[in-house]
Amino acid sequence: MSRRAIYLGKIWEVIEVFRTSRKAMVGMAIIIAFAVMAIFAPYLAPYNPYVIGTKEEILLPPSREHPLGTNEIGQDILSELIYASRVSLLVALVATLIAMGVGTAIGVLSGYYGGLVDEVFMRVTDFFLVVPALPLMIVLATFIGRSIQNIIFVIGITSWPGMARVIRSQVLSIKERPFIERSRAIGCGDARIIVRHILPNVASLVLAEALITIPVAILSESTLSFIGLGDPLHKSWGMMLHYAFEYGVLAHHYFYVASPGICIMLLAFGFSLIGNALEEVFNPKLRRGMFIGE
Amino acid sequence: MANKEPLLEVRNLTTEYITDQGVIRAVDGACLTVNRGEAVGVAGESGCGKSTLALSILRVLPSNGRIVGGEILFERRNLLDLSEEEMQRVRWKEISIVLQGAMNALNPVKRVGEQVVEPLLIHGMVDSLEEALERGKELFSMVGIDPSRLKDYPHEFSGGMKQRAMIAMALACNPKLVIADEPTTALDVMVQAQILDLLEELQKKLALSLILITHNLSVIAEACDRVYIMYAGKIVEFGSVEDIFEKPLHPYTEGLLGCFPNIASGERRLHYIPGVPPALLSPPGGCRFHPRCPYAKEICKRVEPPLIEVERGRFVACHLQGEGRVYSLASAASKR
Repeated sequence: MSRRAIYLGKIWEVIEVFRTSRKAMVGMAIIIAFAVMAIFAPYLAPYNPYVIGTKEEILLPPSREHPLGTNEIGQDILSELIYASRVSLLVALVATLIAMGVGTAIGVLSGYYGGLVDEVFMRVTDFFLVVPALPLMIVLATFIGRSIQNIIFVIGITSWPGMARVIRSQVLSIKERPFIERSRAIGCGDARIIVRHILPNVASLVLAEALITIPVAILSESTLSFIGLGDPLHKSWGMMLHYAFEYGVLAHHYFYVASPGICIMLLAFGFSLIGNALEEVFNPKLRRGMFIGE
Repeated sequence: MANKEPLLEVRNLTTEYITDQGVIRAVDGACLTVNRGEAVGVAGESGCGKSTLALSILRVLPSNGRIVGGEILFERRNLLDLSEEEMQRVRWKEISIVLQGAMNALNPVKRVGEQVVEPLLIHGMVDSLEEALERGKELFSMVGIDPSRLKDYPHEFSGGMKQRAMIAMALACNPKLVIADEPTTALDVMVQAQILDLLEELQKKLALSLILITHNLSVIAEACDRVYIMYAGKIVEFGSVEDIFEKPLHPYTEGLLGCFPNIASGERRLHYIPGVPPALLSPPGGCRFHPRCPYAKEICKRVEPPLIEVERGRFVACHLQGEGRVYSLASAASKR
C-alpha cells in the first residue's frame, strides 16, 4: 500500500521542476508528439507506407497528395516517416531497458558484494567500455542477422557499462551508510538489503542514467540501419536514410533525406532535454536561481 | 531488584580487524555479564573497542572484522557456535541494538514507520504490513512520538525523534536484551536527558536487560546498575555504579571521572588524562595504561595486570591496587 507512495516526495519534486523548467517542457512536448505519432500511426498516415506504388508514383516531388513526396518505390514519405517512429522508439526504449537491467544488476552486485564478484564483473565491464561500441555493434549485428529483436539486443548489450560503473560507485557509498548496518543487525539477508534498501536509493540514479542512454540508443539504431544492418522488413528513420543513400537520391530529393534526419535529431534532443532537467532534480547544485529566490 | 541470573555472559572475547597496516585487536579478552532486568554501562574513550564489543555480540562486524576467541553465552547458548541462519533469528528477537549514529540509521527514501516495523516483517511476527503498522503505532506511543508520524520520511524528524524511532525499532520484537551504543551522542543536552529518561523508564517497565555504551560517565551514573570501564580493548575495572563513582580503583577510571564537572566540588577546572589512547596496532606492553598513568612503576611496563576481585563483584586490573595514593590529574599534568 505505501510502497507506491515511497517516491511521492521525489515525484512531486520532479513535477515541480518540470513545471518550472522550460527545457523539460519542450523535451516533454517533443516526446509526447512522437509518442502520439507512433501510437496512432495508422490513423495519422495518409497512405500505407508498406504498399509499393506504381511507376508513375516514383520519386514525386512534394505536392498536395504527397506533402513530402514519394520514394524510389513510390511510397509516401510522410507515411513512411510516421510509421518509422514506431520502430525507432521501440528499439530505443527496449534497448535502454535491457541496458538498465544489466547495468543495474552488475553495478549493484559488484558494489554490494565487492571482492571477487566485483573483480570479475568490473573486468567484463572494462572490456565493453574499452572496445569501441560501434564496431562491436556492427560485428554483433552482422553475426546474428538483421531483425528488430537483434538490433535491440545488440544496442542493449553494448550500452550498459557506463551505467554499471556509475551505479557501482553509488552502491559502494550507500552500503557503508549506517542504515545498512542497522538492516543487517535487524536480521535482513543480503537479498532483502539489496532490494529494500540499496535499490530504492539508486533508483533515481538509474532513471537519470537511462534518460542519458535513450538518445544514444536512438542514434545507434539509426547508424546501424543506415549502414545496412537494420531490419529490412520494418521501416525506421535509419532505414529510410539507408535507402535514400543507396538509390543515390541525396542530391535532388531534399525532403526525402532531411525529414528522417530531422526526426532522429528531434527525438534525441527531446530525451536529452528531459535528462538534463532531471539531472537538475537529482543534483540541486545545477539548479539555477531556485535557492536565491526562495 | 535485578535477580542474579545471568542473561548474557561474554567470556574472553577477542575481536580483530584486518587492515592494510596490520591486524588491530579492538577487543582483547573482554568479559562482561548482564543479568536479567539489569542495566549495565560500558564506558571508555573513543576507539577503545566499545562499539566493536557491541557488534561482536550480535555478530554484525564489518567485513574486515572477525571474532578470534572467547565465548558469548546468551541464555547459556554460545552465539559464536550458531550458524548464520540461527544467528539471524537471535538478532532483534532476542538481542537488539540501537546503533551508534542512530540519526543516520534510517533509510532516507523509506517511511519511518515501514522501517520501524521492518524487524516484525523479517521475523514473520506479523502477517501483513497493516498489522505491523498497528504494532508500529503502539511502539511510537511507547517512545513518545505521535503515531500519525509513522507516515513521515526521516528528514521530517528531528534528531531526538529519530533517536526515539530507533529505540522503538529496537523494541519492536520484544527483545530480552537491548544494546544502546552511544544513544545520546550528537543530541543536545535537553534531548539527551529525555532519551535517557525514556530508556530508563522502558527498561524498568519492560524488564529489559540493557547494555549502555557511552563515553559519557554521567549517562551511566544516571541509568545503570553496574559499569564496566574499558581501555584499549580491555576491561580494566568493573563494579556497581556506586562503588565505581565513589571509590574508583583504576587510575584510568579516576581520570575519566575527573573529566566530568561535579557540582558538589569547588573545582573550577576540568581535568583530563594526558596523552592519547594507544594505537591498537602495537599496544604498549605490560599494563596498557602505563604510558599515561601518573603512578606507573617498573612492573607496569613489563607485566600485564590480571583482572582481580578486590571486593565482592568488584574487579580491577591494576598492579597498584591496595596501595594508598593521592591522585590528582592536575598535579600529574603539571609534572610533565
